[in-house]
Amino acid sequence: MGESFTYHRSAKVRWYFVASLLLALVSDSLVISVHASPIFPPFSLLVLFYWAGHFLDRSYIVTAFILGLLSDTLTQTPLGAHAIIYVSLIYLLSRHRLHFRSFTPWQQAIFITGYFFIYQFTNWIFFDPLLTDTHAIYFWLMPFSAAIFWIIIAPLFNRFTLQVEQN
Amino acid sequence: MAFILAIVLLAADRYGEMVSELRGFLLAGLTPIEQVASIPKTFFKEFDRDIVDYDELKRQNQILKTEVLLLKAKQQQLINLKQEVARLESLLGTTGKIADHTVQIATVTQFSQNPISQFMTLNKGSKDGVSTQDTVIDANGVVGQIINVAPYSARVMLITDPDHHLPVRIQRTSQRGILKGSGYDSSELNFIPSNSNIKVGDIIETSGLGGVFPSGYPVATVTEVEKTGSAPYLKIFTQPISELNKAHKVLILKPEAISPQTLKTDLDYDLNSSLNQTETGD
Repeated sequence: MGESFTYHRSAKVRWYFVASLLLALVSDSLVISVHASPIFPPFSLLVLFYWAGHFLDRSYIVTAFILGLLSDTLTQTPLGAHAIIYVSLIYLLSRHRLHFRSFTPWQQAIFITGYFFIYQFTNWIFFDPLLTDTHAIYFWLMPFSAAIFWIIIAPLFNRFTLQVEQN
Repeated sequence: MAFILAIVLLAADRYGEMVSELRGFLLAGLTPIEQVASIPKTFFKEFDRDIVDYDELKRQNQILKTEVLLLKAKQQQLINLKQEVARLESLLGTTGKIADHTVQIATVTQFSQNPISQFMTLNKGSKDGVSTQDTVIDANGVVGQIINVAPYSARVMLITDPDHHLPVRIQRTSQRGILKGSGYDSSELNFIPSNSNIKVGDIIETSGLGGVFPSGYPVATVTEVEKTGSAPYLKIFTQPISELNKAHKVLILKPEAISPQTLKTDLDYDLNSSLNQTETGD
């Protein structure tokens, strides 16, 4: 019964899922030309964390792989580099997503900071970014900005998905 | 499985350039997303342009008219110089050909200020005849080169990208070197011997070596020259001449395809020149 319930939920919010990822990609594309771009988290990954952490009937690994490739194209990095990072992080999340789901958005934000710190560290290792003093601060502050965005995004998405389920 | 596939793709892209078609496909998929993302910026620009008052427009019009006159005068000079160069080159017995390029205007739809890579996206793609390695310039100088092409968009690697290397020469002395991007609107000029005559303010232009960039386009200005102890080369910092951050319209230069007939005429011309030289020498 539980499985059928979770499967049903995921199928119900399919269009929200697609629309949210498209919106996240547009946001990623928008912030890339902003001077303070290093402080913004990859919104596509943040949104995928929401879906992977709240809807347990799918693994979201393939979505992570595709989003990673799109992110590589968007940021002009070697194809597959972001895909590896995205797939690894979503896999890590999937190991404890039952716990993750039971936390409040504030508690989840602490985990998000950790995940995005790993993301930023691997970015630093893989791509050797050129950072001025200001950009270095932005770059290492990004996990915290991801947590702030999470606190906004997660309750908002919770409300949307709840409405869909109730209808 | 996805992890392994990602590693395979990474290796193929890093060491073999085998996935350029896949990247083109992904870029084509991202084009509408990038266009949607550019709407706020375009809207702001349009709004900013619309609120310019009548006096400002009159003033801009006057400035443009003056610029047109000056450019026409310069064009006349250039035509004369081109003829003079052709005459001197024919006297020297060289081919006397200046590489001609077709020019295409494109609009910048996306610009990256990302610390990982410096690029811009243009609204022209393979359907418009754009191909990789085409040179991109603006009104002031070289912007970069096309690295990825999708049907309706293309990516330009800027000359400030850390992976970008450009064969150049110093305009004043013709000393050759390699210009390497160092991110954030700056670049470095490498391989200039420490005993070279170079000073702050010198213009650096494309040398044409390597065959990718046409010769003689301004690229950067020298901003700082450092001589470190007994190092064989100078450390030279430069700033791009083109307005990388502000450019909205750019030109894509494409080498003009040489028809077999033109090639034959050129070869005949070279052969005749060589024969004449040999006869004169005898």
